[in-house]
Amino acid sequence: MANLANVLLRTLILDAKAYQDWRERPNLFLRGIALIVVVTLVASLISFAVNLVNRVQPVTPAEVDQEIRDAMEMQFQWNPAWQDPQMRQMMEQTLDVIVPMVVEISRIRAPLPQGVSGFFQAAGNWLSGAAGALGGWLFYGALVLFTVNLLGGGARLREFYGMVALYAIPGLLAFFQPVDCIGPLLAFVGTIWGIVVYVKATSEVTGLDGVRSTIAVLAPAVALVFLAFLVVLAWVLWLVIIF
Amino acid sequence: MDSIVGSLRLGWEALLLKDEAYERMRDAADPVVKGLILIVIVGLAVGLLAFVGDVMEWATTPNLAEIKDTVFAYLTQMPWWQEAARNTEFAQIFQGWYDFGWDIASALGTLSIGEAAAGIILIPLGLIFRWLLYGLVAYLFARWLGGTANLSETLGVLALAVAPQALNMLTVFPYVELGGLVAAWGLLCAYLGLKTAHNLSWYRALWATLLPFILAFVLLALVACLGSVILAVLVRGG
Repeated sequence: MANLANVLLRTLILDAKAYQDWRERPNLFLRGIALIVVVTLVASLISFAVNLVNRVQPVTPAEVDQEIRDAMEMQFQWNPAWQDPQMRQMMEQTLDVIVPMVVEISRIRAPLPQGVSGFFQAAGNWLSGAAGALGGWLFYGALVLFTVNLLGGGARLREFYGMVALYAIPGLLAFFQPVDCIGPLLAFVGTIWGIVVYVKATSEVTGLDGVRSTIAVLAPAVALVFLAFLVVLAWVLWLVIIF
Repeated sequence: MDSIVGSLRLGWEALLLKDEAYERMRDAADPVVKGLILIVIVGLAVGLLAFVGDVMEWATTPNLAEIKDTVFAYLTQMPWWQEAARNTEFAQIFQGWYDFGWDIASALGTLSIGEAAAGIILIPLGLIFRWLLYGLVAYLFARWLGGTANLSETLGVLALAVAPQALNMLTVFPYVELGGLVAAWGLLCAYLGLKTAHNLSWYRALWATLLPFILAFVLLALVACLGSVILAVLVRGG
């Protein structure tokens, strides 16, 4: 176990020997799955706990009032349509109705007690995050491997996935995400670090050099953004033509 | 019994993207039967566990009709309503659209116990239908691209691509959403299966895997375009 932790830590500093050690372990694909699931669940542990407490606790009118007021304040500040004084007055009057409405809705009971419902909802969100991370790993990995093949590299599917799963480790920094100010910054650093590890792992498993590996890892993201833009453009053009 | 255990073992190895599993399925004496057994077992297990998950979700969800009534009662106390409801026709039309919106939300967002129970039968049937349809179209494209396997071998290896559906068993936990995980994993398995069974190069196998979806997408897009043209003609005509 200590050896495994050592190998995983050394992949963070891009030690080529550590990547080799990881690659030689049996059931690499299964290890990759385990790594992504564990990292995602650990990284979102605090969010899960906060979510659980929020869902289990009864809603108080003061909290609802504060949350809605905060959201409205944002609108008053940034949304030009809400800056009209008449509009502001109407929204403030509406708030007096919305707060008791939200409180009453939150008191509508399900057949099982609120504690059980809250636990299942929070746990469901938590597990869904891990499933989403696995899905993203498989989907994006397929695009990267496709690009790798176009660039003259190659790897077996399960080896490739097992290797690039190492990108998840820096994502542990997202554990601190709920902490004000520093949390989102740490999560961002983890994301960038993860991309660097992804590039290194791609290079090690496919035999491509650093530049080609970087292109292989980043090109699918650029292509997806471009594709989304084209689809929206085509859809808008189509609507303009027919209507 | 051996056949069931053998099919499940093949399914597990296929899930882990092991080429050997697809080779063994291709070379099996009865790949279609083996594949069908795997699909039925996975489908029934998913259907049963999803039923439990659906019941749990129902038991932890507040009554939608009660929420609807509560929202409406408060809506009618809002300042804008006091003004707008002076027009009785507006109030009636609003009530109609409000009920219609909640009916749609209720149809899409909630599940009755009966519908959940029907899933125990409908899920395996749906998997078999998709397997046969996709298998046939993928077989045609694979052969067109120079593949060498026959239809039985193709269906056998593509049955292994149903293995990721087993992940849907996680929906026994209410509120768990798997997103695109099953679809992405299933596509990888299908790609590996077609590549192995038909001895195709990576890019030909990729095309053979994706072309059935591209064909379905093109057909759907054509139907959508046709539908929007008809709608436009109706709007202009009205």
